[in-house]
Amino acid sequence: MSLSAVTLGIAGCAAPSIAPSRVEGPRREIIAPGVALATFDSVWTMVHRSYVDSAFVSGKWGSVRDSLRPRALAVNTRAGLDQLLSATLANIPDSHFYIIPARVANEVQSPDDSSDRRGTGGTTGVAVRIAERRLLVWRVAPGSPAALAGITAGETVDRIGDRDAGVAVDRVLSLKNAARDRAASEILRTLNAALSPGVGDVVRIRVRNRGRGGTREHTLRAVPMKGTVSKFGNLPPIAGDVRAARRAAGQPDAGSKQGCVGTIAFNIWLPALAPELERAVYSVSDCAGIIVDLRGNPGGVGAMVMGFGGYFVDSALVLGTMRTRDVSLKFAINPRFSRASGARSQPFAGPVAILVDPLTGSTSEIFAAGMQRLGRMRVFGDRSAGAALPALMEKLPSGDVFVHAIADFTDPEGRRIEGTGVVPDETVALTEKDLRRGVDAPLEAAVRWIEATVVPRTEPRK
Amino acid sequence: MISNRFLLCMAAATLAAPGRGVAAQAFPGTLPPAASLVAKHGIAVGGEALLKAASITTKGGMSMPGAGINATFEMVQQAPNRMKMVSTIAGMGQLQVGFDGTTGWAIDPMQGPRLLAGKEFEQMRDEAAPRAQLRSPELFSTVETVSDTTMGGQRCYLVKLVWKSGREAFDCFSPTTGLKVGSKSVQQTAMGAIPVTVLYSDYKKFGDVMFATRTVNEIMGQQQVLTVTSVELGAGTDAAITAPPEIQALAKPKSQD
Repeated sequence: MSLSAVTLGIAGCAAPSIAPSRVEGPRREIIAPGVALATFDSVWTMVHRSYVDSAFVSGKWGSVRDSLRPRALAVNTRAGLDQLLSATLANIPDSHFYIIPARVANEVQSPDDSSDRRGTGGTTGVAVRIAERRLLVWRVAPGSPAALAGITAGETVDRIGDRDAGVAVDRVLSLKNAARDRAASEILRTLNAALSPGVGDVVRIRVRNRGRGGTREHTLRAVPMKGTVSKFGNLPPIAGDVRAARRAAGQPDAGSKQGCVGTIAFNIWLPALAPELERAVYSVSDCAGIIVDLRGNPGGVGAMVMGFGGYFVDSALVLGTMRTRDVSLKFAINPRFSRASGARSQPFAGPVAILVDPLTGSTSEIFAAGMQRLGRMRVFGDRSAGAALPALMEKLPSGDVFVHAIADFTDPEGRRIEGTGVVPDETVALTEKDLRRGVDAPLEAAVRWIEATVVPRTEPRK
Repeated sequence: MISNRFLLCMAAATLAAPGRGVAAQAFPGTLPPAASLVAKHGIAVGGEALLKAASITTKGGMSMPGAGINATFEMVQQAPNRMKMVSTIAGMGQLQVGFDGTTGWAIDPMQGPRLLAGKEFEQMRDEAAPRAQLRSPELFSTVETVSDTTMGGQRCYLVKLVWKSGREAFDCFSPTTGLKVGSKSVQQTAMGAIPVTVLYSDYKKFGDVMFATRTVNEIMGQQQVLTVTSVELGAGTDAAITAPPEIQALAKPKSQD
């Protein structure tokens, strides 16, 4: 791959389906004359030039310009521009059309400087999911502001900031079928994003513990996310976190090949994480089975699925096909037969499970759907986001970055992931009871499958 | 996209071919012979010096302004047909490609290490030798001038080249300077074939050779700008083109494990 292949890498970038525009500029900020119009025209032209749905482009998109361009002429504030762009993009039926505000996109961060990350890359340490028709605390990172405040998994979340969580969830659940799934994913993205504001920013959260009773309100101040911070292209600095662990399987000799299950979890597909991913895979490759935990992973650089998939597949199978208006490109797996050390290796041949949930998006869905359709991996958890389109990130005259899909993507069987998501082979619902007991039900289901899949050892125990 | 890598040094190529030294002549209403265009280009870029060089080291930068990506690169070519290129991209790491005369390889953080195969390998093999950049006639089944056209707003003669492997490429040469104005081709990648259009400009002398110091690639609607900052002709060392350990392990016969 040469320099020009970078374009390919980016074109194959199923950009993370991050929460839209949660950081806005000052509402009354005045923008220079002509900026709004130039920005509107840029957005319109980029979509017109590259959106794969040519019927939409030749039809409705023209009327969008006719109706909104006159409005752009009159816009002279930041807030007005935000509203204009929002109204413009609301006409596009697919995911991966959103604006990263200039304030976020321009945040340059030295990868080795975690001392001052105010304004970006923060976390309160709490993540939420919808379960049993309520918004529940799903995870609390040890030592995080949420943990120190006493928030525990399984608690019901009534409010995040000014947002009534119960009302939001009720509205989503009143929808039907695919619309409900998509809306659930969107609302979860928004609420979880609110819990990961800029470093130093505060978030109010009101939780209810149905076991102990009573409602408590906490004000949490975000701390830097853990992980390797990297800035790739127009994406804001992102902390990539790769975790690997071994756990004893239900076998007598825990720790030996037949007696452990490895788990690999990571929060984003970024090239800077490639060395950590390799170490993670080889740290558990002697286990009987491996679980790839993609819950909450919103995607990243799409081409990475070809390399990561190669740790688990020994031939150049195709995970899916990306089609722009002009070209058709295959995401072919590159089997890993050597290590960075120069040693030869073999791809892992044991059973592999993938965990997904409604916040599993984009590149993560491309990987999960591809491996599932190829019959190489079994998927557990809850249906994924259904937001899997290769996208580009281009800067606008306003300084914002426009993320826009430039291709369609289909799995190895020619089916779209966009809109439908990855449907698990085993759907495992979250429950308040499990969360309160610290039971990770989807993970446990995957472990049970691996244990049942691995041929029991026949030699006698010593 | 292997040949794009070579586009960096194409400007430095010359033609060791019949017709060398014959000035191309433009005839009103008549297209000049392709051989004369290619020969004129070779002379214009000082290719004879390149042919004599044991090694060529090209350094520069790359940017994709729209995507906010910046990189540096260093490419080393050694006679007769060995090469290695290392690109370092902020937020991504290193992308490397190479050819040792027999084996073509690539490694990057996204796909990992791999040996090139199929059409991607054919492309590498076809274009590895500097004489390929000189468009030596023996490498092609057809070389013909097909039109008097413009690329990037400049008038040029478009020459169609068909490699003996069957691949096609188009180079467009300035009728006045003989320098290459642009080219079009289909690049073979691990993911499939991708059309690429290239524009060359800002030619500068580096000793006895001349390079386009600005190259703009149009790939899948994205613009990529390459800037050459230095070109050195020298003796070269094997170390400069050594493949990384992962590639060496892949290329090693299994019997040596």
